[in-house]
Amino acid sequence: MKKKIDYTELIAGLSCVAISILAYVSTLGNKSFATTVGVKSTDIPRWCAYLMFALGVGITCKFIVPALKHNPPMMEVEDSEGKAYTEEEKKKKIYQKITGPVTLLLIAIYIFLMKYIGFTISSVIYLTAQITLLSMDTSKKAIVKHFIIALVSSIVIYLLFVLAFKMILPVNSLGF
Amino acid sequence: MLEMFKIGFQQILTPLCLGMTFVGVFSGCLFGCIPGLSGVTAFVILLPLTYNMDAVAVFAMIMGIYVGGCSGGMISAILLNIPGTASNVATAFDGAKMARNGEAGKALGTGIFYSFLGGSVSFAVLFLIAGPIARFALSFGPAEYFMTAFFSLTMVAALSGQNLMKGIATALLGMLCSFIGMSEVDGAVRMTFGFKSLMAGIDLMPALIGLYAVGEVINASKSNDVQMKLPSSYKIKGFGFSLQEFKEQFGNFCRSALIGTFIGVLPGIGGMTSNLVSYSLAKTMSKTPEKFGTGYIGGIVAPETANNASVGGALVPMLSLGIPGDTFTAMVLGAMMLHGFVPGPLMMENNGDVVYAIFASLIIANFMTVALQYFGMRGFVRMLAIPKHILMPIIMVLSLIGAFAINNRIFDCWVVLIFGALGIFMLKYNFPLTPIVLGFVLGPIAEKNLRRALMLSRNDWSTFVQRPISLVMLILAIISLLFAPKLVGRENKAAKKMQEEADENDRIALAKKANAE
Repeated sequence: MKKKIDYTELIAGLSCVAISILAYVSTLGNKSFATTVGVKSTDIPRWCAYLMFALGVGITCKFIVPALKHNPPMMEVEDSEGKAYTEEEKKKKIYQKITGPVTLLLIAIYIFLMKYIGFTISSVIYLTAQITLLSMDTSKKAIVKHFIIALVSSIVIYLLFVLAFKMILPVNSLGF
Repeated sequence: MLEMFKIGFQQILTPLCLGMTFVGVFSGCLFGCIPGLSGVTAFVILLPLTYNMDAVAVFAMIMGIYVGGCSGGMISAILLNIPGTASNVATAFDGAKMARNGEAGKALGTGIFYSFLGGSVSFAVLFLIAGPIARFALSFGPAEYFMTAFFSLTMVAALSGQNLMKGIATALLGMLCSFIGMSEVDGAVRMTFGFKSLMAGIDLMPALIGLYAVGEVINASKSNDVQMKLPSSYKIKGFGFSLQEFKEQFGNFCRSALIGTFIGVLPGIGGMTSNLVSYSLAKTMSKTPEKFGTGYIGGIVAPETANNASVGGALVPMLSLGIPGDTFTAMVLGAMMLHGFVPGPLMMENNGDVVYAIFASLIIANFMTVALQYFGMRGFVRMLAIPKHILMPIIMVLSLIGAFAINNRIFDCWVVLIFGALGIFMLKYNFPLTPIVLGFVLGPIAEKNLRRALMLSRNDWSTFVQRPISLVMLILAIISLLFAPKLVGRENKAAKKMQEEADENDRIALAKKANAE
């Protein structure tokens, strides 16, 4: 097993510090209608922010203190140099790396589109894209299959929620 | 109390409520047994159906999901050696061995039966103590309430991860998110950066959907589909075990039921802790500890009794004080508020009929779970084969509908996305997820009561130590911060050791089998 420096605590600590600063800044300029008695409405968020800042520094120190002694936390990584990967395995590795960010991006596009082209059409687009991404199969035949699954499930969901449960979903100018 | 139960049952025994309980139990079992999903996912998907529905039917469904979701996980733990949820980790130690020894039916039967019994014991405890606790809590002033919420928060932060600092930081993040918008006491707008959509604050449900559903979709896509290597026969004969075995396991059962209920009552931990604790205790206190891990019935009785017993336990603080102890009860709280109830000690007083309807639906859900698992086992097993790359995106679509339908605005869908990204980030950098949920729910309760208490005492902080109940809670909070992390660390080590031992036994058994052949 190969080893490399484990930055988990450093990133975790610094993000806590960043969030605490963001939270503190967000309370600046907020007015409180509190009476003269007791704590104001901005006090408790600020206390939380102070405490979080301290904790963030503490978590960061867990990385920095050993690192200064030339003994940073390590983690084991798979030794990829000696191994010969097949095409299949290489493809899978790339897919696993991009799945997270691409899924978030797809959901963002989906929510954005929902407002303009309505729930049903945007769902068909999203489902086709997402199923294709997760199945790692980009052949033409597979995409057609995924499109049919997406179409059927979107229509079923629409019928179920709008007609059976009388719910309001985002619609386009044609009304679906 | 019997009179109240009569009213409760009268409300539940309608076709709609029974139907909704069945829907809940069915989807709870189903999502429980699919590894990676849980009752929380079932709740998220079914949520939009409930907005226009009668409150009692909604709670009946939710209780069905809770009870069913806790039992369903054992199916995959026994048949596939993959725990369906974190509450069934210990079940796999012995259950999977029994399945390999050709005793799958016996293992499933035992699991179903003891899940039922464990649930029943904890429900009895819930029925007996929820009322008195609520009546006692009626005397709570703001100071007591603040300290109770504070104690719950420290417990959650201390118990739900290996790292105390990260636990507290996560709980604080949850609190900060809950403070966005108008403050409860004086209506002052804060932390909005001028965004109008944030003035009403962030709703609990979209945040929860984001934290749990989005992460699950992405994580599931990274794991491979379940390899279906089922034992040749998993038919259950009777309940699978003999009267002799029942007598032998009685002590083990009683202990596990009590442990499960007690752990359930404590905030921050539930079925996922109690199944491991009761398994390791059953092993230490057994006369034949060497049998554990080799396919011994006691190794199923302990975890399956305890995890279902935690369901009743977790509902005690939720229904009597309005303080949830885990993610699922936090969602129950959210659902109650959506339907216009004020969870807390007054709910027993003002909406006693609804509370007793919830009690009645727990009993019915427990029976339904047994029947459904007993007769529908083959169906659940078949459901395990649904390819995840199709199931997960559909779950995502349904979750977004759930978020949208709360207020009929797209803004809540964006909240799902943002919290989804946050959840993924947190899991990647080893932050526990439960404290953020509890911080989100308990933050406003703590803040509101702190401010009220200080207004009442004219800004005299000593009010928190002068009042006996509040002082006790403060001491408990300090104790939990000092000692809980050590306890959790020990428990995690023990669980790891048990897992390693089980794996070791596995290897030996497989080697023997290979030799014999």
